[in-house]
Amino acid sequence: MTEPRCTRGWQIEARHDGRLQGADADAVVSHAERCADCRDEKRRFDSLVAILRRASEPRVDEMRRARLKQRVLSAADAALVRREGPRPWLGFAAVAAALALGAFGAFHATPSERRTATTSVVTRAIEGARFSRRTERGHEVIALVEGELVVRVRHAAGPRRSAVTVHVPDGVVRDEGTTFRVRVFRGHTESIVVTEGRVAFTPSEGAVVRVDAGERWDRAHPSDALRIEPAHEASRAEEAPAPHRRPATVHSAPAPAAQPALVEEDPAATESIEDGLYLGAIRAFRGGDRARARRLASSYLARFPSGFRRVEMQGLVASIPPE
Amino acid sequence: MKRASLRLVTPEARSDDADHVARSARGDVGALGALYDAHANALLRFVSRLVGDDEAEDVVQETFLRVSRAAAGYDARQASARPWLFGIAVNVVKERKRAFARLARALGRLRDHAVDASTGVEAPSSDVDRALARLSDAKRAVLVLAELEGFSGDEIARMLDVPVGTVWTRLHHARRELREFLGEAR
Repeated sequence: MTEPRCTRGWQIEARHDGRLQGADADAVVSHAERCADCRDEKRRFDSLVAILRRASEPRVDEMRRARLKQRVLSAADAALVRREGPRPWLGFAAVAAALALGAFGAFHATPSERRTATTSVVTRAIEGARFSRRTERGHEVIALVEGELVVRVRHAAGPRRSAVTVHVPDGVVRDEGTTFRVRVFRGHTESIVVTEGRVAFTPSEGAVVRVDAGERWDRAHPSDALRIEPAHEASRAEEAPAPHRRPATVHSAPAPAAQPALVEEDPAATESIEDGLYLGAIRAFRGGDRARARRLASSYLARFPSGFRRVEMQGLVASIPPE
Repeated sequence: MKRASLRLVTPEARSDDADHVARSARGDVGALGALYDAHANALLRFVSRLVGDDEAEDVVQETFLRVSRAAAGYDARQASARPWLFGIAVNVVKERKRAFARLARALGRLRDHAVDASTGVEAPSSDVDRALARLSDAKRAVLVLAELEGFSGDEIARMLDVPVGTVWTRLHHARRELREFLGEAR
């Protein structure tokens, strides 16, 4: 490639960048029409700019943006709380209090315990379980994506009881003062075993099922809860309330194969349920299955009242009359 | 870069951004959310080009978290908070790269083999992406801001806190290197 002989080649770039304006910029254009070197320079320059602008545009999808927003605002909120928190001179007192609480907790609590005003929740995940926990408007929300989780809820006496819900891919299990076990396998709730109190399971599709202490709900027999033989969950059986109104089909609830192992909470779990419901509703709507779209959208709103897609889901529910 | 002068910023947008920055500085998380809604897409795109998709979210998060601290330096007369946010993002990237380079050096000393700390950019997919990744951070930032984000030289100078002459120089060198690389690649 030969070097351009015209010394005004640089003006092509200068004009492009806005360093030359008005009459100066016009002069560059008219000069380039007459000058082969500058015409060539302009062609090469324009080509570079065009290549650059055709470069792959980074993908910014709405889900990613919305999720990041939540991260940003939570972190900002946390920073604010820290900023407005106790003064440094209170540090020793805070540490002492935390240690005392920690010692109390270690003595009394099983792993992964959280306390709200009047409620304590203990979860144990069987190895491999994927779940996450968060507090939403004072209520404990557990999202179980896969595996088995044992949840023990204790409501202390007090004016306020915090609701505890376990969100599974195909429904919501709502605690009503309970110890229970939920198992999810390949995106479906396989079983719910209640050893104390009662839970209400609201599947995405179908009626609410109440499962009382000593009963087991099984996906294979979804129409009703089944009694558990007292031998199962032996340690808790004595504490379990008296038998129930449900049909007394005896069904064996398998004992856990091994001592439950603690696993890490999976922050993606809640998101994948939320995404799954949203996408499922949209798919059903586009596929013409309006009833299913409505059910999934309603389920989304029930589980994620402040979810990222609540406005779309509200719109969907509003646009489809109930069957 | 003429596109910069074509960007339309309404007076409403102007007052909104200034208001949101000021309220964010007072701890109004809602205002920070509004600022995020207005600029997150552009920031994510821009930062992804600088550091790749994986790291972009962390950089953007840090950028917004710095809004309250940096608010005192925000000029409320600016047409939009976007250049200011981009400037914060560039600083965050620089700091992370420095930290990454330090870590890489430490790792290099620990192990016997070298760790490539020259760039934290993910493996790019096209010739252009590869060419961009080969530029220094400073040149890449200027080129992306000018050619792909449409900012003027003055705006970039303010964002990066460098003289406008430096912007032109970096831009010129970036284009030349890009041309050379693309010429080699073809």
